[in-house]
Amino acid sequence: MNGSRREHRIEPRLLLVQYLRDVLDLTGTHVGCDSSQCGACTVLLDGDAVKACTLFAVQADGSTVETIEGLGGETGMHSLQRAFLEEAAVQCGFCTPGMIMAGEALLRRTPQPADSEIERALEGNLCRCTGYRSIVAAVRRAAQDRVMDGPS
Amino acid sequence: MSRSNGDWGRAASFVMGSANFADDDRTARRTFAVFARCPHSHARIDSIDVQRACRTPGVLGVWTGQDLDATIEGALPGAWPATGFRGGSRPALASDRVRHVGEAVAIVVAETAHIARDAADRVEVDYRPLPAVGDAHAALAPGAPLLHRDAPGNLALEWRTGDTDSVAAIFAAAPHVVEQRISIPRIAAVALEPRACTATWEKATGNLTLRAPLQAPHLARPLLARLLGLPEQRIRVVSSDTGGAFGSRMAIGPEEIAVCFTAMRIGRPVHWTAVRREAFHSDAQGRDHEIDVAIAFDHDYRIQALRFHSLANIGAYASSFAFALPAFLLSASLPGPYTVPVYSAGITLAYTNSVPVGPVRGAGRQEVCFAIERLIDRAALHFGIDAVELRRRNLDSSAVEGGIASRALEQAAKLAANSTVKALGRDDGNSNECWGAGFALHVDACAPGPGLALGGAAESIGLYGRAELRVHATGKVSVFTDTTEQGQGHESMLTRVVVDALGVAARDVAIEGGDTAMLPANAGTLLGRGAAVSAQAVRKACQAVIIQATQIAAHHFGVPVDAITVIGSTLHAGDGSARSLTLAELAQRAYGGGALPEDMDRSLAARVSFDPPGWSRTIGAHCAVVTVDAETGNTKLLRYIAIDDVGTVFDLDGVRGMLEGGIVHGIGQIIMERVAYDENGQLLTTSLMDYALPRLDSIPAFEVVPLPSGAEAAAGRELARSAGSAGAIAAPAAIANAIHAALAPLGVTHIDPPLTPARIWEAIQHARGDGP
Repeated sequence: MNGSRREHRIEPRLLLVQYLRDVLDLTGTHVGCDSSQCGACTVLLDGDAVKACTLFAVQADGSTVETIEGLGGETGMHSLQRAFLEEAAVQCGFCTPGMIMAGEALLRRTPQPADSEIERALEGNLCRCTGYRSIVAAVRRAAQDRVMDGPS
Repeated sequence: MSRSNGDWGRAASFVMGSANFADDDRTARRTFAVFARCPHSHARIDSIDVQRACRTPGVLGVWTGQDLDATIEGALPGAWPATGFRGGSRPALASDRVRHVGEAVAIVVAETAHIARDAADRVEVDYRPLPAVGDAHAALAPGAPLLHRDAPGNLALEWRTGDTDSVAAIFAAAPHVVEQRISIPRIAAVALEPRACTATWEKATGNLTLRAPLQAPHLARPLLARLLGLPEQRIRVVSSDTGGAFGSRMAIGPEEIAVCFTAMRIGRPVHWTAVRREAFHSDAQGRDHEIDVAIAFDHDYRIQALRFHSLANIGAYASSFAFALPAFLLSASLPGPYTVPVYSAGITLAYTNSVPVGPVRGAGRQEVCFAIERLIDRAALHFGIDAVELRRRNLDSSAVEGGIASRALEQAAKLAANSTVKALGRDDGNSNECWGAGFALHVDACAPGPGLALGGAAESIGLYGRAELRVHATGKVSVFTDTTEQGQGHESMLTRVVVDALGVAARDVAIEGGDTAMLPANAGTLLGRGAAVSAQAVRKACQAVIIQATQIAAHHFGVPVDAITVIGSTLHAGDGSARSLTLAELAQRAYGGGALPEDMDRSLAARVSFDPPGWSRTIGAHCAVVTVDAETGNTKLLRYIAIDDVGTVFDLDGVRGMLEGGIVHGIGQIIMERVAYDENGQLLTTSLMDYALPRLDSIPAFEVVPLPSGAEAAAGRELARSAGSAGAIAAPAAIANAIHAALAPLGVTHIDPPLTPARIWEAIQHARGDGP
């Protein structure tokens, strides 16, 4: 879990997103729709972008989970976090953590994606504020920044 | 990268995952509320048995409408009532009758949300179903089931404006009349963060705090005071970080009232977060108009008169803004940017067994824009002249608003004529693809004034701007503003105003808002007031502080006040000497030691109000370019051009973001969104699996350009105008016009929105004579 090992006894019906938010108090992962449509709850499970509202927490037993809190830190921002601010890709901010995690899964797999690849990778994430253009621009910028600065 | 995390202001918390949305607040000892909701669209409640729910381990209490009725005085009033408005009063929890699917009948509070949900399923209600009405026509028909005893015929309001007789006379004699009935479906705002709140009651002090995603905390306070019987000074309403609003977070609903009620009963904080299904059943929905619009033209195709009538379905109850939207805003938007010698308009509001209707981005203005702009295109097709030319002919370019519309139209037309991109749509080898371009002019009438106040429970709240600015002893600045931010960029905009006016560094300015403890009554974030009103109030507060600083400096230097010159954040003695003091040094003198005259305030702080001089009108021209596949009915949006007169641009990225976001709301509304009910008022769209929203694959290439200020800037128009709703207002019309232009050669003249592939395909088949 973001680099450390966590162990809890939990109810079988507890969803992964509820485990993150209510047991671990990692509230950066959001719940927008309960049905896998909006992507606000996107986290990385063994490196893949998954929607934490449609997985039981027990399904992640023994896996590696990464959330928005695991990307940056007090000392600095991760390239995607910085790029989202620089491209004004954040308005209300509710979809942002899920967008960034979906973008991170893409950039690990495809470090220099074409715009069409960015669009496909983020198609499962809804944003009601920005109109999306700036979000695509942010992922593009983060990809470029990583070439210049090395992966962050 | 030179900026540290702190330099990004609040936005940094959104990318770091450390934001504080309503459900992120881990208040100690908090409990969880879940509502039991009615599955019928119209029913009498014979009895409610809460025994099993109460016995569920971990449940702290269950309350029904009858429990609330015993304490709560009256029902939720409309915040903006009209003369002649009838019926629609809404209980916090239904006690004897339910009028729409999903209406709450009981509230359960438990130690965990899981327990509360289990217990809510154990609330047993005996319903006696009643006949229901699902749409406005059925509701107004003789003998229809009646929703409110005090609204005979389910008629909430019949409202007229304009010169009906002259309009009728002109229509009777006009050389050309075009008319169309247009239905604008019901939509949902779908803020991505579901509605949520936490209520905390301190028994010792009698203080109640409601924390929720809200656009206007001050609107909630008088309502809570009245319904809960608490004195207003004991109530604090605080807006948490708000995950999208779009009008849907303007007013609190029955749920927030019930949650406050339970917090006062159990003495622990009570939290509620809606699930998405619940949001579709309980968040106010938008639009739902059937509009009859007609224009009379003279021989030269100049508009002689306009006639407009809308039959609006406002749902089962009068929401807080039930009147304001269809009537107040609609009348402010008429007759649009064109030269219209005379017009008449009417609104009929009907109650039906559906979720109440409230504000959604562009409310009132979108309906007017859509009806008029579609009709202009229909007229152009009918007359056989170019749609841009017909618009041009009806704009008075010498008038202020006509001039702006005219310049915006010419610029949009010039961009649209860019032939290389135009060809792209035509020559991609698919012979089924029909290409079309459509234009729409819009007027976003917002930020009303002067001297206007909200009505009803919020009658004490004026639509003034309000700001308090404090220069601290260290020279740092706090601004308390009447707006709360949901992503509009208020923080960066207002920071910029302060930086420009006081010459301080951006990192030394903190913008605070959304808390009733900060300022006296104010209207909050609604009706595009941020740029046009709140920013002006902050500017005025800066000027007031400069006057204070000048007085202190004059006293210190021993020179007359008018000798002082202000350059950036430094005040110069202006007596030929090199003496000067910075704002920070003056603040130290004000707050700290040293003699000052008795009548000089020992602070550098100002609280001001700003009354907008009139409605602010953001005017623009939009153009959409589409291809429609005639075999599948599928629309592909290629380009979207938006030229809007937003006045002073504080932050270009921010303005583009607001405009593009609004356009994408409009894309959703016109291409895919519809809240669907069956004829009995049963809700069919209850999740994001059956209510479609625009995703990345629906987005065109944007060309969004603020219109540079022209001569009218000097004509006394306010400096900055709203960019928030323009896109949502104009995009449905521009895109619908583009799609209809593409389909015109196939003989299709009118399709009611949403223009889904199925509807388009059906219209094509029908035009070909293959239809059913």
